[in-house]
Order: sequence, then structure tokens, then C-alpha cells
Amino acid sequence: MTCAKACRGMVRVLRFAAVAALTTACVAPVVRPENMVPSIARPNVPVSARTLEIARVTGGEKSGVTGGGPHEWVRIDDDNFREAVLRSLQQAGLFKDVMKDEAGDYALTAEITSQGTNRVGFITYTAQLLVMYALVDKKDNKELWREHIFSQHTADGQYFSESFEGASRKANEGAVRENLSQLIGRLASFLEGNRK
Amino acid sequence: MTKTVVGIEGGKFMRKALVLFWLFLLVFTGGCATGKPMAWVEKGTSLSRYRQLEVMPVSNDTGKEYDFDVVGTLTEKIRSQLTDKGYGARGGGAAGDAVLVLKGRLTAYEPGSAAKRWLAPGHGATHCTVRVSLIDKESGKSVGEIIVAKAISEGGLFSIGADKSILEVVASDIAETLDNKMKESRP
Repeated sequence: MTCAKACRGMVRVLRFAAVAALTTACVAPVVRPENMVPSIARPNVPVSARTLEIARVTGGEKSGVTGGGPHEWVRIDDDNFREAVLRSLQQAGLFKDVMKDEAGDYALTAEITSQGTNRVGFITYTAQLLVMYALVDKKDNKELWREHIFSQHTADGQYFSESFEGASRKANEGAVRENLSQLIGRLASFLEGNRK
Repeated sequence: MTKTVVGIEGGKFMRKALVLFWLFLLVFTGGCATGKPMAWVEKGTSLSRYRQLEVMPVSNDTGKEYDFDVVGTLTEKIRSQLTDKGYGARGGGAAGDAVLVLKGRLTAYEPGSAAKRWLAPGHGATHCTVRVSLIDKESGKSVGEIIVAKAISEGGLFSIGADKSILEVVASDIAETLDNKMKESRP
């Protein structure tokens, strides 16, 4: 009798755990540009006296619930990534002005060539991101600089307040922040070396 | 009679409990490395023209030191996996053959702990990330990238030795991904 009661209790607990696991938030959160901007000290004077246009961003993917699991649900898409690049470079102050329209002296393109997320703990995710950036002088359409930048970020989710995909979103946003931080550093070095 | 009925009920619940417990164990003790490899090849580049591969020693970009030679082990395993697939990863090939250089970088590695995984599933994860740049030896230009990130976050005591076995899995994924990319670009 005692054994049957214990078994019943165990079945209830396991059933509850299974239902809880299966019903954990079914909507994939989207990465937010405001969380993807690195905090970098702005120089007093722009490194370049010219303006920059954030031209094309390609290779991104839309977030969505798939059969692959929460690590595949959160994706970095073109529009949010472009917005994050724009805000980051505006904040970095490397150029006289940074804009989205076609009025810049230079154009920056970005191609997200690889992105992935994997679970490295109970509610911990690591995201990897590889982006190919190119800077083009619009006067003669000449490619001045081109670099492949890799970044990764690990984030823990908060127990009870965030679901698995919340942790995955934080990891992806962190990977973008790290990538943009490297972009700013390398663009600054390039502009310093080619100051006119 | 009553005793028998209780026995049957108890047996039924015991069976249910065991099935659920087994499923629970299956989920939390799988000990499999997770994470899909990512690959990119420069547009218009055909990897099939490369007849020879040169595997450079994997560099440690993690800024950490480990109990054993992680990057040396990884380099050997990548070479061995590629040799098994029929690529001349240790040299050889005819003079004048196009050579593809594999420059690997260990960007993340945590040996983890099987005991922690056993006591608290999800904790003490073993994980490893390797980025391999594919470089054309002649021009020095990068023609592709392979990123393999693997993690073993469950498995408890069944995952003892994961700190070393994960390197084998990562090397195997690198070789498999490269092999697929080379076959894909064959005319």
C-alpha cells in the first residue's frame, strides 16, 4: 500500500515535470537591437571626416518555433542586425555621420555567414556568429576593407522568470554585441591607418 | 483477496513509474554531444579543386590553460579523421597540386564535470568550440569557414571522459563538414 502511494506520487511529479517541460513558452522571442549595441567610449573627434551608409545586410534568419528545440528558435535577422549596426556605429563616433539612406560617402555591407546556438547548461546557451563586413568607397565603388568577424557569447537564463529561449535570445544578443565591438575596433584601426 | 488487488494496483503503478523513470533517465543521461556544425564557402569558390590539405596546429584562443594538451590532441584528431576520409592531411600529393590550408582556433573549451552532471543535470557541462578557416595556400585568401560548437550537458556518470571524447566528436564534425563541402562543389 505504501509502495503504491509512493509510486502514485512519483508518477504525479514526473507527469507534472513532463507537462511543464512541454508547455514552456511556445513563442520564440526576437532579438532586440537595443540589447545588441556594445558600450564603447565615443572619441571626442570622429576618426573619419566622411559619412557612412549602412547599406545591405544579408544572410539573417527569422526567429520561429521549429522542431529543433529552443536553441534553434532564436535567430538574428537582417533588419534587427542592421538596426544594431547603425546604432553601434552612430554611438561609436568613428564617422562624421552614420545613416541608413543612400547619402553616405562610404557604404558598409554585412553578410551573416553563419550563426548557431547550443545549450551548454540547464538554462545556459552559447551563441556563435560569423559576419563578413565590407567597406566600399561610393565615389569609385572600390572595396577598401573587408573582414570576417567571429564572436560568441554564453548567457544564463533566470530560473522562473525566463524560459529556455529567453536564455538563447540573451546569448544571441551578446554574440552580436561582441561582434559589433570587434567591428568598431577593426574599423577604427583601418581608419587610423588610412587617415586623409 | 484485497491484498491481491492492492498488489496488482501497486504493480501497475510501479510499471508506470519505471517507464517514466526510464524516460527521465533517457532524457537526462543521454550524454550526447549537441550542436550543428556551421559552414561557409566564398561564393564562386570550388573546394573540389584542392587535392591536398594542410592542417596547421590548432591555436588556443581561449586564454586559458588546461590539464592536458587540448589543442595538440585536437590537431591530431582532425588530421586522423581527414586521413580516414582519404585526404592527404599530413602532406603528400603531387607537386603543383592546389593546397587548402586548415587553420583551426580553439575559441572555447570547458572540461566540465561528470559528477556535477550526475548530481545536477545541466550543470558541469563539457563544451568546445573550434573555428577552422579554410585558406588557399597559393593566394593566402580565406575561402571558407567551418565552426563546430559541441556541448555535453547531461549524461551524469555515463559521460565520464567527455572532456576528451568531445574533441573526437568536434574533429569528426570538422572532417565530415569539409568532406561534404568538397563533394558539394564537385562538378
